[in-house]
Amino acid sequence: MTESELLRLLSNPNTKTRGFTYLFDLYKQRLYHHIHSITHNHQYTDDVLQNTFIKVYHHVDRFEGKSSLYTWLYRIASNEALSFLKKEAKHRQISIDELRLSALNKHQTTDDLDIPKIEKKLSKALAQLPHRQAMVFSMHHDQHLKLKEIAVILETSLGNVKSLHHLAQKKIKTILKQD
Amino acid sequence: MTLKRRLLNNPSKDSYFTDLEDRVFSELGIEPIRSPNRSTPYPVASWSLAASIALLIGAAWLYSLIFPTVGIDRLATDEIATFLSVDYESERYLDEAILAMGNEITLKWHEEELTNEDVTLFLNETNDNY
Repeated sequence: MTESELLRLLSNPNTKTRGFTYLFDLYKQRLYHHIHSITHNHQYTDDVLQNTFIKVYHHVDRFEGKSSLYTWLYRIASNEALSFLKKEAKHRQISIDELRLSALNKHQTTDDLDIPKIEKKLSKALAQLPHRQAMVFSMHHDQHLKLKEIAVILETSLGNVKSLHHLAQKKIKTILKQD
Repeated sequence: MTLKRRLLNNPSKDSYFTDLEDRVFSELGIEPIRSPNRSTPYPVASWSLAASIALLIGAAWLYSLIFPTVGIDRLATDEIATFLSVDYESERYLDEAILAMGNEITLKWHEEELTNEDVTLFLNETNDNY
């Protein structure tokens, strides 16, 4: 099914549920990994992913097609994840990055989804990065999004994304080397 | 928005996503509808599917005998250097090799410090591959 076919299903009230089922199947894993790369915690990811899909269902009618559908989905997931972290961090009176680190140490991690050991190492390294750097790195390497696409999703400039990606790469290499 | 929260103790991948689907669709008050094309309408379809899979496996086995490939784990340092000199895609490939193997030699190749000039060039370029 092409994206325009999927959008046609989603925009028709009679076929919306079928379209949404297809969209859910298509994006559930990718969005899980994307959100997990931001939160570093299964429980947080679960909440954010559920919220993301519910928001997508309710707002898909407003999708104007200015970007591709998956860019739009990733943007919603990213915003949901960041809002979730902000709220949680405020509640605990710590920073978002401190929250991500503590989430990684205290709660269930990617062990839940049988992720290989080396990816767990990377996940730990990512949790030590500022969240925007971690997001960019993960979107580029795990989700195979182009830096241009990431810039659209995060609503920032390509130069900024390149800079974040470069800094993330350097830090990850240093962390992996120390490990 | 109040959402149902369930404790997910050590869920497997499949059961987790099934559980998530149940919660999302129940929250929305709808039932998942899957395309009928996904199921096989005639019993013969499962036989033809099994035969096709068997043929594919056989073909892949024969291909692997005729054209043996070198896996990521067998990449020599020289090969990695060659990849590095090609383009950005190769660097990504190398990243994957590092992540897959945690290979120390590979890591050393990849960890060569960039100069300030490299960084400036990297940040300013407008390569369409990005």
